[in-house]
Amino acid sequence: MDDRNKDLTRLFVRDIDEIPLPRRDAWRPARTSASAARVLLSAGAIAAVLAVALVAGYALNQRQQGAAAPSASPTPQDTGLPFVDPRASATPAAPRTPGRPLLSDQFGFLLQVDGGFSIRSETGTTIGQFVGSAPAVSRDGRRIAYWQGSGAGNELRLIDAAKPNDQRTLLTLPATERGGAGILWSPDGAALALPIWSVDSFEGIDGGPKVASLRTISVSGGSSREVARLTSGRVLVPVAWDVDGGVIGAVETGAGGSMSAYDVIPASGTTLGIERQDMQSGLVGVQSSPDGKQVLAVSIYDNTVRIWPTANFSAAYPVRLSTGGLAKLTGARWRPGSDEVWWTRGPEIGRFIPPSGSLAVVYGSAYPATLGPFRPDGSAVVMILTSGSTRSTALVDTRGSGAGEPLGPEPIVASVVLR
Amino acid sequence: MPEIEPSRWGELYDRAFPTVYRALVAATFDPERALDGLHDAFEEGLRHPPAEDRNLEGWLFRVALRKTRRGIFRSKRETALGERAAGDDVVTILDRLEVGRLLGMLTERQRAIVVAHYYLGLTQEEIAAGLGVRRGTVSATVSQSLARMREGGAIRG
Repeated sequence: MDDRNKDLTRLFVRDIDEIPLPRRDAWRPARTSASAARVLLSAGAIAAVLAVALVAGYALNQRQQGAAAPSASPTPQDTGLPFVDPRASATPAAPRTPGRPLLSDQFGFLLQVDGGFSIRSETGTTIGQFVGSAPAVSRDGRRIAYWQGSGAGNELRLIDAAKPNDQRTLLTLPATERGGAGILWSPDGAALALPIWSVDSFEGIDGGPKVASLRTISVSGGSSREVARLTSGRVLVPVAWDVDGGVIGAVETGAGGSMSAYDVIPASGTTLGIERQDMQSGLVGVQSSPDGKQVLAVSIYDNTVRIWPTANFSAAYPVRLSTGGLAKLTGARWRPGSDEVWWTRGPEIGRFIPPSGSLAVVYGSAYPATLGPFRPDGSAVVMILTSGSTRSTALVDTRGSGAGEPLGPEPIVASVVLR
Repeated sequence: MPEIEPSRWGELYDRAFPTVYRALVAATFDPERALDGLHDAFEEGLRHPPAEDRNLEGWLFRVALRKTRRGIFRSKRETALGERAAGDDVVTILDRLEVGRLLGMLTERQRAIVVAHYYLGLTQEEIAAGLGVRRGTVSATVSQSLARMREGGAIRG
């Protein structure tokens, strides 16, 4: 088995093993009817939704409880976030008493719905819908870029999150090209980096596009500029844009999304200046810091978060989370408007401040938890809990108010700003 | 190789259940179909136990797939992730996983073959024999699936 197949096998085993199992007594066929079993599942779903509101609210309301801050450094920094002992909060004893309402019509969500995407306020008002692929929300949460269509010759569209019906076409590709997933906004919102692939592709199991380019374009208009090009069958996906440093970080990916190299690409289009560095296998969830100057990824083999400057992959360093025993690290996200990285592992959600700031568990429950998108201002985050075969989501205040509100079932792609 | 005694069947089934159930959910994105299929496979095993306990996961996966109510390989219309009901819990569970996003780009048939290969560790020959298709079909499906996953660029967290 070659390295790529090994990587895919490890990735499949790691993630599919996360799928929750049904109750033990449901493994074998029961004498009760199938419909009765489904009633139980539905009841479980309702219970999970309720649990989100109760557990999240309870957990985040608990200030400075227990000693749940295993530290990555001897110099912990207090950011005002509540600290919660996950063992203490596993079974909520009482519902929270909400303060001011958390859900706001100032913010909304980009949701994946049948046939496209919908923009809806946090309070439930539908703002509009659009059909397209690979939408990317600007750092300020106000604009969305996406490809109209998913095949050859598609168009790059730009919309205001608050007025999705007013669409603007920034770029139309010829029939020989198609837009790829992974549109990246510059942190200042002035430009976009676009993965663009030739329709013509190599044959065989690794048959990628014969030409994969990375282009930039100003959102104010004008023509696009090619800043990098591959002809190896692999594709370039931009992950971070350091405007001050004048570079874009991009990963080269092959079949199955496996990453083989990290490229530092001058945003000016000086292709001679591209620096390519091989990446170790097992890195997933690559994403940029809010200012575009750093990149993080989860290393699935050693259960660490790896962080490196956008301009220098060789300076990557690991952050090892000392809590949680053997539980697998399932994700990490930068919190907008801060220096914090929030992480998820098993039933714990925590945060740390790289490179050597405090490391703390800020939430814990009896349920496996993961993070969805943050609000663009970092004031709240979507929290996802799974219980049995059910899943529930809630929006949780990250500033310490303790507020947590359950959300609907639609997959949330991103958080947006509506006014 | 002696046939598995019915009295031992339940023990072997329980041991294989977690792996096969998860594989079926990953292939179908439907926990009810996965469980229904496994229940039917359990009863099939009681009536006609497999000839040996080697690769029991592969046997259960194959039989359960066939027993799912709509039957993946008899399905008239294959379903991609984006076409499924928005309220489907498993879709959203899988959506938070890297592999879920990759599998979401594939049809059910592609998912079943890719999961059998990369999660259950079945060889292309075993998949072909188990699912009643030619080895070339398995190979081509894996190839197409990988290309589709790559083009989807589902590597972002």
